[in-house]
Amino acid sequence: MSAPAAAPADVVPTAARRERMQPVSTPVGLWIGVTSVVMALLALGLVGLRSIDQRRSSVATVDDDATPMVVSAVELYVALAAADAAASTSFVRTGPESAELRARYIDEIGRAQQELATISQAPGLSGASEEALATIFDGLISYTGRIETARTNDRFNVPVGFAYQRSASQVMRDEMLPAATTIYRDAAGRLDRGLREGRAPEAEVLLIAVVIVALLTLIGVHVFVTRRTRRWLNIGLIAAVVVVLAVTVWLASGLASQRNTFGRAQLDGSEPLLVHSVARILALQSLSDENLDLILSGTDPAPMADFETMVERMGGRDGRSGLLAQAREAAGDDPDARARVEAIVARYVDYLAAHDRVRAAADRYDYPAAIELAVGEQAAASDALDAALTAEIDRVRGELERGGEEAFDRLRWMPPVLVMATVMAGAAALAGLWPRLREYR
Amino acid sequence: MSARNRLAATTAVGSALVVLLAGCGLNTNESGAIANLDLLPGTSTTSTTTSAPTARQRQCDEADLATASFPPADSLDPPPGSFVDQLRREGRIRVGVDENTIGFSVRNSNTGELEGFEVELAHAIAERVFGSAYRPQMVELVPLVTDDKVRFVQDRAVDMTISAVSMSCSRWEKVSFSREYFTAHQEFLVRSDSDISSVDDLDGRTVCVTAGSSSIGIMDKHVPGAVLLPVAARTDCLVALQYGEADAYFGHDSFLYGMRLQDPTVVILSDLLDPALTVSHYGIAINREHEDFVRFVNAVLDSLIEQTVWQQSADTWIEGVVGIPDPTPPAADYRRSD
Repeated sequence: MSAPAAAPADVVPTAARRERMQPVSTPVGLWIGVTSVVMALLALGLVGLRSIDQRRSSVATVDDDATPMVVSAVELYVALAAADAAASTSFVRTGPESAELRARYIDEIGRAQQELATISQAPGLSGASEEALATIFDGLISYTGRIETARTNDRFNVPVGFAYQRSASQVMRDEMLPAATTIYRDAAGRLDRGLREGRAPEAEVLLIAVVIVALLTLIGVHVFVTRRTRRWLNIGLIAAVVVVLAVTVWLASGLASQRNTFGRAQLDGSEPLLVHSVARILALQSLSDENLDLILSGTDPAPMADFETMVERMGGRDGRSGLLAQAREAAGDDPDARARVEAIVARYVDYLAAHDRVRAAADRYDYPAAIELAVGEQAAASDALDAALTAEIDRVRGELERGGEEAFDRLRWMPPVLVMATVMAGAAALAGLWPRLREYR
Repeated sequence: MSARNRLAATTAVGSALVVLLAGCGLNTNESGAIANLDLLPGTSTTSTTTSAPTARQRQCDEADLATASFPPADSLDPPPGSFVDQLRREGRIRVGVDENTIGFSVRNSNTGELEGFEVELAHAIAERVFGSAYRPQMVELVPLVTDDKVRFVQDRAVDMTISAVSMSCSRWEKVSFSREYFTAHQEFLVRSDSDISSVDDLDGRTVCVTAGSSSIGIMDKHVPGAVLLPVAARTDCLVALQYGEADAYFGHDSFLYGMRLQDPTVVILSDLLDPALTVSHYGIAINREHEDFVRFVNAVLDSLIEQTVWQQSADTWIEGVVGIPDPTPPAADYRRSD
């Protein structure tokens, strides 16, 4: 190693010829080599850090932002729809106001306000979501005002109370619930995007590309050194190559593992979360349809037509199609998962059976009886269905969050290790090249 | 290292990386569940339509036949095969009614039942239809909004509608009417602090009307400067007035008196329009196929008026509850048999 290199001093004609044929002199070549190695390793470090950071921010979006937002948006929708269900059934019932339904209404409005506060503080709300939030804030004032006017008029048996109740439900259904749907749609879209970006192969592809560049640079420099100095092995450069390869394998397998964890989180977490939360929204929308039909005494066919659409999307008459079919398919052959789906389907079928009894009374124009059934049996069946869906949503949310945390853990040590590895590789390469350079001083 | 060797080394490193990448499983599937967002509920809309007058309608208008019904049946015991006979066999009669009009037909929020002058009329007719077999539950009261009052009769979704339906030649095109059972006038309801005191004041103002009602035709013809706000139910106009969304409500005095009971801060402006232009003759709407039933109902109405059943019910509900003074039965107007 310490033996003098082929210096231009001891000129051999062939060597001189070769030297003349070289585009650069050895010291210049060595300096170019050093610079390229430093640049390539710098690029490796920076691009690697950026790739990891991209993944981390996607994972953070999913964990800290989109998942809680999806859940909050569903809760908001549910609280609003449940408040309207309580207010409208309480209104159409005969006799003195039910203290229980009144308490429920107050609770649900309070819950809606809490969710509104949570959502309005969430980072990165889209313009559409912010607009939707404003609509709900405004709507809540108009809605609750109309409900109280309806109640007061109803106390005095004044028919305009009906008109206020109808107008309140209209504000809820035409303005507030669609706005809540917008917020949910946005959040679900963000969750889906976060999961997809958190699995996007660009991060690995880019990393591999800079690794190849770094390796080729190191190898190229090694070849140059070998040729010019007639030394077969440069330990420093070899060590740099080994470090780069090792850290690459470690990073790539870590990213791949994070991607797989995320894939599982999507499959076991976010997909069923979306299926069940949309089902929950549809179920409550159908209850709202039925209640509106009872307030209107069937004078408008639109609510019941909407009911049928919601039922069709949820699972059809027997729970064998629509979202419930998707849930069943996703459960596959896993007996536990199947049992959970079947439990939800059973609640769904009960709910439709209660609905049929309400319809039978409404079809006879026996609205007092229909309303008693709606307030009693159907409300209970709807609560049971909602509880079953909520339990499944909580469970899959757990899966999603676990997956998200695991994914985050996978990425935790990547930046310091990458920085350390590039520094080490750089140091090794420089240590290998420094003696050669010194020979030309 | 020869060029070939270098190439081999590079290829080896490259292929190792390719294997590594392939092992990662580079395919990121599009999420399937996100498509379910399209299943989320949207909003629904409703619309109404109007039709142009026919030649027969013009004839009716020219001969002033809007309030002229078919002569009453000679007997209240119609022959087998008649519509009444059919109703008797079915054991029920479906009657379209409103549920927000105090004194005429309104749902009592304490009992949940419909009550009022028109509800009593429905039961009185049912008593004559079913005779000794009559039971109150045989009368199926179908709540209808104004826009559906005539359509449900046309579609046979109800056997008759008793819901302040104003007899008109355009409606005779769709249904038949019984003889008139109540005479109303259409007036304006405004807030007591309103500055409206003449038709001219209504220029550019918002006037609430019930969608599908005869009020729209009168407004279009005689107060074209007003901006109409059509709503589904009559009480929706009171809400519009209370919210300031409308400056006035144009409707039948039979409703407006009831509205005043619900809100003491509104007043009725009488005779802003010539009463001859706003008079409304209420008839019971019956399907055009059932002329025999129209005649039967007319015989019943005649006898109810003759036996002062009409007067007793009107005194209780229309005068007693709504506060319209001295209700009197309208005179019968029958078409000559041809």
